[in-house]
Amino acid sequence: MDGDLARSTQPDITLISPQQIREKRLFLPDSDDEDVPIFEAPLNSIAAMTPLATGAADDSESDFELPSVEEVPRASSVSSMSSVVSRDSSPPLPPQTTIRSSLPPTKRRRLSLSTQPKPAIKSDGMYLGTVLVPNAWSTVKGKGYIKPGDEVMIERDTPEDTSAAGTSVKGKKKQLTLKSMLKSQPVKNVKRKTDTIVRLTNKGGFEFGRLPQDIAGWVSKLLDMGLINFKGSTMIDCPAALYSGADMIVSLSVYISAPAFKPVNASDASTHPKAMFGQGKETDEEQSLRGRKTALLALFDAVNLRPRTGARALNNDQISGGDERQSGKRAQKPVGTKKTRTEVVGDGEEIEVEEGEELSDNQLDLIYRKAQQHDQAMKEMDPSPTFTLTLRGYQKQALTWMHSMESGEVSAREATSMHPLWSEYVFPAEPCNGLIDLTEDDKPFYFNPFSGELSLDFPKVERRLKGGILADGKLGMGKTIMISALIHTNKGPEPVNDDGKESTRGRQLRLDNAFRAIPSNHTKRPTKGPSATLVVAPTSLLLQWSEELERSSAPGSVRVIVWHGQNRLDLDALETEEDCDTGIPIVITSYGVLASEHSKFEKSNGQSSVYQIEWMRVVLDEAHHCKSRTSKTARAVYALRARRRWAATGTPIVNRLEDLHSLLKFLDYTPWSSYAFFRSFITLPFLARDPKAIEIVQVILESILLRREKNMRDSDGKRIVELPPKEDTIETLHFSTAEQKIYDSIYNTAKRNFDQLNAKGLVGKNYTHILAMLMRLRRAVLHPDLVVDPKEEANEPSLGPQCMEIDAFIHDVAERQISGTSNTSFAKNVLSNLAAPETDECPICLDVMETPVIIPQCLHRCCKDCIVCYITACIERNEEGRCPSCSGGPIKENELIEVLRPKTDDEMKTAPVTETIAAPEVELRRNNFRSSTKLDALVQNLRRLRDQDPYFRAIVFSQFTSFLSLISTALDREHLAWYRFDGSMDMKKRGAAIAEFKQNERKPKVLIISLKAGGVGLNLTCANHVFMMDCWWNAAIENQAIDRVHRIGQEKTVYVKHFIIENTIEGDILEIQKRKTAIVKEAFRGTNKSGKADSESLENLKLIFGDH
Amino acid sequence: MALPKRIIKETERLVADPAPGITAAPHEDNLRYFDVTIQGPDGSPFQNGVFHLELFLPEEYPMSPPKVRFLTKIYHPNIDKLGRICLDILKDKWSPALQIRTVLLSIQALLSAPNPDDPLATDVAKHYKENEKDAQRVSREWTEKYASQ
Repeated sequence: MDGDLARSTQPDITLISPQQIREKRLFLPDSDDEDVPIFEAPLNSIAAMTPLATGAADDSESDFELPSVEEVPRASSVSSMSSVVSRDSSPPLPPQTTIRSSLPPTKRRRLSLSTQPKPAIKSDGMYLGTVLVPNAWSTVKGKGYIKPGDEVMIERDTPEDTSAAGTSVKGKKKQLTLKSMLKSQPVKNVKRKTDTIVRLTNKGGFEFGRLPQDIAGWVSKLLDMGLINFKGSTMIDCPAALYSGADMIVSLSVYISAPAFKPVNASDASTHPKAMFGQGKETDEEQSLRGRKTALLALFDAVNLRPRTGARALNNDQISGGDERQSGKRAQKPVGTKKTRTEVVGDGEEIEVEEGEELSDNQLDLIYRKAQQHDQAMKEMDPSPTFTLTLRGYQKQALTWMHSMESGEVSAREATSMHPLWSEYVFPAEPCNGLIDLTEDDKPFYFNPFSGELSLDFPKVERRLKGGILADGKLGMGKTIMISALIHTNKGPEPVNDDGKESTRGRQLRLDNAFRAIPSNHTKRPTKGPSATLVVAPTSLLLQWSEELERSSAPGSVRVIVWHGQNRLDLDALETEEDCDTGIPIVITSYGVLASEHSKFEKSNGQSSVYQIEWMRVVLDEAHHCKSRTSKTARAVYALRARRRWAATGTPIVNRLEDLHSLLKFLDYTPWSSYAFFRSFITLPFLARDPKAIEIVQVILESILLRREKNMRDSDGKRIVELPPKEDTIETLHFSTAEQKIYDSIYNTAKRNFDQLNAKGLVGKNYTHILAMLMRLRRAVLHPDLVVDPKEEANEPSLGPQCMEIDAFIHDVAERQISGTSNTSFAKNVLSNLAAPETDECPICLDVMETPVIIPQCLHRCCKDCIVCYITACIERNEEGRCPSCSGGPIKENELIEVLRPKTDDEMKTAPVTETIAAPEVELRRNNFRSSTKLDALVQNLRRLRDQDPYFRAIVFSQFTSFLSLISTALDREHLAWYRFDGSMDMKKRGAAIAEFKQNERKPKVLIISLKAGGVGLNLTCANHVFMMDCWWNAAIENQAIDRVHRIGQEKTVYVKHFIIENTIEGDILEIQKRKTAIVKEAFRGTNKSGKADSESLENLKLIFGDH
Repeated sequence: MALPKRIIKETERLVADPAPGITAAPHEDNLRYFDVTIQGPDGSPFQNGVFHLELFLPEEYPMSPPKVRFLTKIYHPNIDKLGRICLDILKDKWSPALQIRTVLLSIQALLSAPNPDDPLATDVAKHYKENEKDAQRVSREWTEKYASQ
């Protein structure tokens, strides 16, 4: 198309001297490739280094030379710059002759070889408009150089000219030309000078003037990149006799050349494996892109070309302005000082995370909103009959959507809007012999003001990938079931992959490995395409996946393999043995296994069957596990070969926009899968507060993400999920005196430490140290034992038998009575009344004893808390603990005997008869377990619960596994059945724990879960009581944990209780949670490698260590 | 800091059921601070005297003993010029099972039975040891002089 246009615009290119042709012939091949002998070596190498060069070289070369060619109709005020009036669309000036001026090298100059464009070449450019330059200035003195109406040629030279000045005329010519062309290419490690001189030459090739700096700035860039050329530029006005510095008015007709429309992201980082791990460093390609973009924007401004629709139509200034700011910022912030912090991803893999701007909840809502717009109206689809469960309406909608995403049909949601980054422009009509053909159709072209890309094709929001992100709420809406339905409905096998187009980037990157891997197994394969599905999930969920898949499938319709642990099967069998009868093969594995397989695969000639198979479908469950693209987990996931890719996660964006990138990369959603691209067009604009960033993300998500919230309504206006209510309560507790002391001392040490560091301004450097102190505080809140030195703990007597026989104890006491050490009648009285409900006062608190303990020596009794507190106080004074009533002693805390009465009389009447009551009425127990306020509160809550519901099921969450152990001990003492689930357990044990907990038994059960290991994925709807022992910095994490219980399948009201101790760090954390801003970010923001903190984190620390 | 339940309870009981010859009332602005009076026990040189004391319950109470001091001048071997009292339960023999009431009763008992072998006011103790009668006379004089109302 532009070829035709080009021809028509140049009706008067007629005269070419033979010499010219010869020149040209010499010239063109030169430019074309590096193996032309005339070339000088250094240049070749440069050319070879520049990917863009190869495609564009030929065109850009000739284009570049075009402007100087000959007469083109002068711009007759087509463009909006109507002031530019060229009187003369007259016949061409005399044929071009190339005159090499042999000026001294100091006056560096480059003269264009004036050539005619290849007649057949359709790339002489599209007319863009005319720029009137009112203040070009002369560099020469005298007459005859130029006169108004004469054609002006635009010349550009390069800094390298100086060095090349000595070469032969011919060589120099080529060199210059070539160089100028190449210069636009990103040449790594070559620092380019910012020379922007643009020379004006007359037809004789003699320089007579230059463009003013402001215009030369972008003109030089565009010329260097070969994006534009000038044809028929005219001298409008100049003094008859030039003198140095004389003002001249020049009209420049700008043509945009064909190569400008070639995709530039061919050189994008995605093809450079290294760039993948570049931690956001701007690549040279990017830099050049940015230059190109800025220059193009300036050009469009100059020719007064405005976008008809699209991105730039909105906020022109923000884009360019924002860009400037960013580049400035980037310059100040070298990569090394980027803020990072350590996060745990995947299966316990720790990674350094670069800090980006985190998102507030509002922003997140905004981001998802667009993706949710049309969800209500989506059609429902019934799954294949081999899927045996009944889907809910919204699940059927999800199936529709996923099915269409996989089959590549038009998206369930129509997404035909223009790509958000692009804007549409219209080529201005080119004056042809002074006339404008008004009948001509508008010829639109498209410009991406973010990347500087130009295109002639309508940039659709396109989607090449098969798959997407299933991001249904942060709750159990049945992601597993939906995926299962998808597996059943879209079963393979896929056609054999013959075109190779589908190959993923992962494959490209590892091409060598991939080929090495193939020989043995893949030779057989071509008979059938892939049909197996790989599910990657956190270790804790593997069994659940397998169960759910089996449960939802007709017998024999699937073949589920949990690929985990030491004896992993050879997965090759999966493909080769595959028969239609054996069902759909599904392999379930964990991120951890995948990561280790990946490193194995990379190291050992690709001996890893999971990477040798081409999967039909890969599903990442809890896909945010690989949100950091540099983590091993993420890399392992990218390298999988699959036709269809799904990421299921409730939090596609955990707290940064960049979290999304990793998913896009996994999905191979070009171009966003390229980090550099994502960063330039999303992250950085977002940091610059450009609302466009969010819009872009919205459009991306609209096309690939499905997200419904549990409170969303279906087309009938019903909630898509009806869940029983959830009651959230916070129980505020008070430390016991002893605990308060321990906490205070730790707090004061920490505060002193912090104050000192703060005074010296060293907080930033000792950040990790302070974080450790904070951690200690958080542990101290839970239980004093969690902060005691392990040495001290070692001294504690090992736990003896906890329960004592009453008879044995009485016998023991009786023996001592014989020896006459004790008051007989008193002791008898005490023991005989043990079973009676307590009415006696504690001598210390003067209250009725709630948890009485007996002092074994004298049988005096106190409240447990009181006597423990007293003994602690005595020990602090270096005294021995004595009985408060009789001063008998010494007594020790762990010798005290607790009296446990299962129920009071009243309770016994109301409560149904249970096994618990069948237990001995009174129980004595050694007090060899140190409890804590929180533990006691938990135990008391559980006791109450047991009274109300003898078969209750409760979940207890804590972040600290050591605290989980204490909890389990406390539960033991209460004779409550408990099950534990934490990260240290292997999968079998975890599965067993969950299974036992879920088992239907007539007794109360408690499941204690580490927040990190069990906060996601598990389905625990059999329980309806949740106890949060500690608070996490981020309420979302807590909610996700609670959603283990409050999810589909839950039929009862869910009671959630948070235990918070007053006037401790927990209150601060709660405050932080409440404010829900990007603040404190756990006060953990910004630990980077050097342990430095940013100022915001410091403020947060001050907040914590501020006076309460 | 909130007043522990125990102190409230003790105060209530002191008011509701005072020990014979003893009054104790907390200050309105500081419920840990008590104005105390003790009548001199009959048959002691302090008979007919009404002695004013102050009693303060420290933060750690009842894990540590209350602080008690005579405000009224008293000639007693175990009470010094400043009114400080030498009594074991106010020091190392303190037990949290003791209460304000028991402490004050102990002090009352101390008036009946001075213990010059464990003196605080050494000159008074010497006086009591060497010439008990004369010492008791001084005690009576002081009681009349300072503690009569």
